[in-house]
Amino acid sequence: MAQISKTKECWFAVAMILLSAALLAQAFMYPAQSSQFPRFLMVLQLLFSAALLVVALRLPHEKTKDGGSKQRLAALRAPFQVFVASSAYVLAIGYVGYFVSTAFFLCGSMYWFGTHKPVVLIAVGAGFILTVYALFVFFIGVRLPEGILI
Amino acid sequence: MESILNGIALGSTQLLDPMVLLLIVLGTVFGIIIGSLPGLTSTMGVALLVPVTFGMTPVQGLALLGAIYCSSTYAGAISAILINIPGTPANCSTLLDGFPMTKLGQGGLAIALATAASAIGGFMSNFGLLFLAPPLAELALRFGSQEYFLLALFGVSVIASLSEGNMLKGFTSGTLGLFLAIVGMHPMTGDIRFTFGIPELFNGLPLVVALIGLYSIPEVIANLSEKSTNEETTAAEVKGVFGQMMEVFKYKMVMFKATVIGLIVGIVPGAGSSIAGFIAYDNAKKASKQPESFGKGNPAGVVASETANNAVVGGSLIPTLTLGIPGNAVSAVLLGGLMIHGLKPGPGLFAENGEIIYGFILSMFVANLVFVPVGLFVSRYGVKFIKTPASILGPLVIGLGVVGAYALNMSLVDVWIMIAMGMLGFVMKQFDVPREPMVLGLVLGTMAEGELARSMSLVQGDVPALFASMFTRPLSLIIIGLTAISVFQGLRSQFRKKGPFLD
Repeated sequence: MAQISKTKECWFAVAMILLSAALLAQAFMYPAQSSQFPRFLMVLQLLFSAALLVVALRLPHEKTKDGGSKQRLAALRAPFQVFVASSAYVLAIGYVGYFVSTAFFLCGSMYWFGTHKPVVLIAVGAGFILTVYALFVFFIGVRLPEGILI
Repeated sequence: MESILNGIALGSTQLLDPMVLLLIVLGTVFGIIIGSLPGLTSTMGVALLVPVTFGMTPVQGLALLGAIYCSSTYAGAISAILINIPGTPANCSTLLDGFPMTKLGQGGLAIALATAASAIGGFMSNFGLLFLAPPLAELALRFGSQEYFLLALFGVSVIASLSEGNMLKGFTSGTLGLFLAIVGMHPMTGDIRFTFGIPELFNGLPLVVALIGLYSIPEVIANLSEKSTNEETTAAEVKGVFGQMMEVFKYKMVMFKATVIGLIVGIVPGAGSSIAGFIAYDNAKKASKQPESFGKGNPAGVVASETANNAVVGGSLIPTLTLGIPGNAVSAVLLGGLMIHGLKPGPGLFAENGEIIYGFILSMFVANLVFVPVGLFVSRYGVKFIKTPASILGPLVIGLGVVGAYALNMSLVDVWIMIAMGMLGFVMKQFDVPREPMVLGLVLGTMAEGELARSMSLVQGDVPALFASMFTRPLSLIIIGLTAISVFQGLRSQFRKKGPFLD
C-alpha cells in the first residue's frame, strides 16, 4: 500500500467533518419523523470523521519531495481529461443528438488519450455506434436523444 | 427438499428458451472480454449491461448477468497467467504461481488448470446456492421490521470492518452509502429530503446508475494513468490446452477445500473473491509437502486460487437472494438487476418467483460450462486483444456507461448522476476509501430506513421501547451479536497490523 500522507489524511478527515456537519444541519430542517435516520447517520459520520482526524494527526510528518507539486499535477491529468471529455459529451448530446455527439466523443477522446491512427478511430467509433444502435434502439427500443443534427 | 426439486424442475423449463441459452453464450463472451482486460472488473461488466436487460424477460436478463459474473471472475486468470497482470482483483493470487508457470514454459498447463478449476469451483458453489439458499430464505421469513433494520446495519458493518487497510474509512464509506440511499421521499411520511430541488431525485438516487458511475469512471481514470503497463509486457503462446484440463483431478483435495473456503467467504458480506483466493492459496501451501515450491510455479497454487474465487460466486448470491444483502459489489449490482425486473430480493423471493430464481441459478451452471471453450479460445487467440490500450478502452467504457445510464429512465440527469458518482469514486480511490461499503450502504439504505420507520410506528415512536423490543427478540439478538462479533474481529485484525486503524 502507498505510504500514508498525513496532510492528505487530515484534509480528508476535515472535509468529511464539514460535509457531515452540513448534512446534519440540513437534516434538522426536515420534520423530525422524516429525518431520524439521516440525523443518526450524520452523527455517526461525524464521530467516524473525528476519529479519522485524531488518527491522521498522530501520523508522522512526511518529508517533502522535490517536484511533489509537479507530480500531483501530472496525477490530475487523467481525471481532468475524463471529466472534461465526458461532461462535454453529455452536454453535446442535448444539442446535437446522441449519435453525432458519440461519434465526436469517441474519436476525439481516443485521440486525446493517445490513439492517433485514423483507421482505428473510425473503426472503433463506427463499431460502437452500430452496436449501440442494434442493442438499445433496435433490440430494447430505447429512444436515444435527438438534437439539431440527428 | 421437495420444494427445491420442484424449483429445479420449474427452473429447467426456463432454460429451454433458446434466447436464454444464446444470452448465456453472449454474456460469457462479454464477461471473458471484460475479465481478461486488466483494469476492467466483474462489477463494471455487470453494471454496464444491467440496462441492456431492460427489454428482456427476468430469466433472460438474469441469465445474461449471471454469465458475465461467472465468466469474468474466471477470465482474470488469463491475463494473470499470460501477461502477469490480474484481469480482476479476484485473480491476484492466481498470478503468484500462474506467471512463474508461464516462465517455465507451462503457460498452457496453467491456463488449462485455471479453466478447469474455475469451472469446478463455480459449479460446486452453485450447488451450495441451490441447496442452502431456500432453507435460509424460509428462516428469514420469520424476520420482522427490527430484524431487517438490524440486518441492514449488520451488512454494512461487516463489509466496513473487513475493509482492507482502514476500518474507519470503511465505516465512513458505508455510512455515506446509507445516506445517499435515503435521498428523496421518506417511505412513510412522503417528505422530500436532500434533493436540492432536483425532481429526478424525488424517487431516490438511481441505484444502477450510481453503481455504473462508481465502478466505471474510476477504473477508466486509473487505466489511463497507468497506460504504459500493458504495452510493455509480452505474452506467452498457449497451445493444446484442452487435453491438459484433466490434470486438475490430481488436485481433488485442494479443490474441495478451496470450494468450501470460497463458498463460506462468499456468504460473508464484503469478503470478496480476492480474499477467498488468498486464503485457499495459503491453505494449499500449508497442506503441501513442498511448500517452498509455491510462488515458483506450483500448479496447486493456481488450482486453489481459481477454485476458491469462482466458488465465491454462488456463495455471494446466497445472502443476496435470501436476505437482500449482497455478498459483494458484483452481487449488489446483480441485486439492482433483479429490482429493475420488479423482483424484490429477500425471503419471499423463492416462494413468489421460484421459477425465475431457479432458472437463474440453473443458468449459472450452464455458464460455468460455456466459459471453458470460450476462455480457452481467448487464451489461444486473444492475447493481443487483452493488451488493448487504455486510450481505446476508456472512451468505450464511458460511452457504454452513458448510454446505459440514460436508457434506464431516459433521462440525461441520470447520466450526470453517473458522472458525479464516477468522480466521487475517483476521489474515494485517491483517499484510499473502499467503495464496497458504500455500495452496500446504497443497496441497504432504503431497506434500513423503511424498516426503522415501520419499527418506530409499531412502538408509537417510543425509542426506549424500540431498543427494548430489539433486545428481547431472539433473532434480533442473534443479529446484534453477529454485528458485534464482526466489528470486534475487524478491530482485532486492524490492531494486529501496524496500528489501530492504518495499514
